Amino acid sequence: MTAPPDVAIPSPEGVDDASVIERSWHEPERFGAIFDAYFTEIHRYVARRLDVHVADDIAAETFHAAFRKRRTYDLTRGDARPWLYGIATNLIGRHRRDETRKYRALARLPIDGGATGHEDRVAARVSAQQQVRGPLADAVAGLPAKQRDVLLLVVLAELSYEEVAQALGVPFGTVCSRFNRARRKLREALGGTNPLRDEERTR
Amino acid sequence: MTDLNELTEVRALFDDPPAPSAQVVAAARRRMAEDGRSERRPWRLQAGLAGLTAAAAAVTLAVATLGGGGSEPPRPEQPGATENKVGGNNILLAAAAKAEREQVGRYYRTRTVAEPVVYAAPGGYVVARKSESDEWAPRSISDAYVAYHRPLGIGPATGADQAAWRKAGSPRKFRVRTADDPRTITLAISGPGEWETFRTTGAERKRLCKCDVEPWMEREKLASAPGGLERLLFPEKQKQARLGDRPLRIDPANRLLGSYDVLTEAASPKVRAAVFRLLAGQPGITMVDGVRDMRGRTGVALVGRGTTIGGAGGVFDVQLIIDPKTYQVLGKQYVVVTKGGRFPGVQPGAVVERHAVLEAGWTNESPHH
Repeated sequence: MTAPPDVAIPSPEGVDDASVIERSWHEPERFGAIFDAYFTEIHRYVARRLDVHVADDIAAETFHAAFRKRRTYDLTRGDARPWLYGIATNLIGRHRRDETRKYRALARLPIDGGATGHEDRVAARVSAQQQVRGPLADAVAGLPAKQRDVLLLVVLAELSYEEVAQALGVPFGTVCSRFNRARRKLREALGGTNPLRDEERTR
Repeated sequence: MTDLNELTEVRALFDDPPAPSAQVVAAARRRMAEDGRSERRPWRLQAGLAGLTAAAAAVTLAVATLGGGGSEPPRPEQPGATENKVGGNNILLAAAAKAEREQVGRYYRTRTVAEPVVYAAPGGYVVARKSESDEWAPRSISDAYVAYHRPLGIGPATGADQAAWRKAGSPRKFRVRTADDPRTITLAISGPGEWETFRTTGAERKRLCKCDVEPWMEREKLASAPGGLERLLFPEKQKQARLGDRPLRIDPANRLLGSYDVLTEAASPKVRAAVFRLLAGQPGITMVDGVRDMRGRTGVALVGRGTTIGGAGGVFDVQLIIDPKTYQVLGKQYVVVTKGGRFPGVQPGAVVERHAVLEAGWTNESPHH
């Protein structure tokens, strides 16, 4: 959780996303402000979950869809981020196979280009990280999609539970439960990474 | 013992991608206001849309399957188990009355042993990866959430599996598969590992949640609204109802699983009591006496049937086991009725994914194990 917070785009006094979107009903070009404020953020989120090239498509499609749906935006919500993340999450859901493939690759990938092997201590540290990374990537891959969405909206997008609830259109309590369940599974995966573990994976 | 934070580890899995190029941003900004109907979409999204249609069809199929009674496969026999519908509701109502009298403490502690991952070995027996956990969920958002966890190792799941494993020559390694992973993997028998501690401080929890109220209290609020308990236990129902005209019928298995979650997580005595009462009136849920849990304890099981999603034809029973004397939840487990889907290669009648609750309740103790 060391990622810097997303840079907030300063908005003119008293202008929140809801009023920008409301104005864009009649002046569509105003929606450009929403795009400018959030495109990079949404793109980064999708790129982390899938890859940069798919993110080019999905982030663009997110704003295309948001623009078309702008008249249905709930104007009581000043911040458009949860709404945009919700649209992006739906689109990511169509790429589940790509996402699973990514986690499988992550699980096998050496960290930071791999150990050089010259320094035993470095190799041991990298191997320890790898021990965590492999089972963890597998665990994220194995999560039910709904739990994974909640987990990654909190951890990667840094949305609050309430914002995740808005993004996914589920009650707050459901977000809490899904988040807790996802965490439990991650702990199970990490808890299995003790050095005494005698297990090998083959393709 | 080292402290780990699973969220920090997850965050570290993901690299920081490069920002989109100026061309990508410009193209996306142009595309935003284009008319979707005349715009030719990139192939990836077209493929995605095709997938969505297939997914929608799968959902329809699942709903139809859940709703349809028809020719149900027979219930598997469990040695010593007898069906008992009459006494069942009394037990649930007594459990509700007891739950209502409990006091909220500083932490909700849930100690469990579980085999959340099961594998089918070629010898016809089930191998499980077992683990033990001890979770302390605080009443107050300012307190730390602490969970202790340790692997209990990999080995044959039940006594019957143990016997079958011996018959197969007690192999130390076997090639197995699981529903969650298309790969065949090689597993080796292993013993218990060390305890790990997972801690999230109050400050971090507030930052994550961006809230000042403990999430379980929010659940309490939801549960006390009209129809709220149903929404809490079965959130999909509400969403599905919004998506289509047809109300989603939650199958009995899912009703039990949702109930088990609330009964073993931090919840107020009122909510826990309400869950027991709700279960007493659920259609499709039967009672079976003399069911053994993962720890060999015997209890009364609430049994609800479910089907695997995706049309693979898998049928299973979920058992939520209650101690008929103390009314404590002893655990939950699946009984495979028809092979397919979630438990490939696991024979009908096998009891899998067992969870045993060693302790669940409010306490004023500080986290330890």
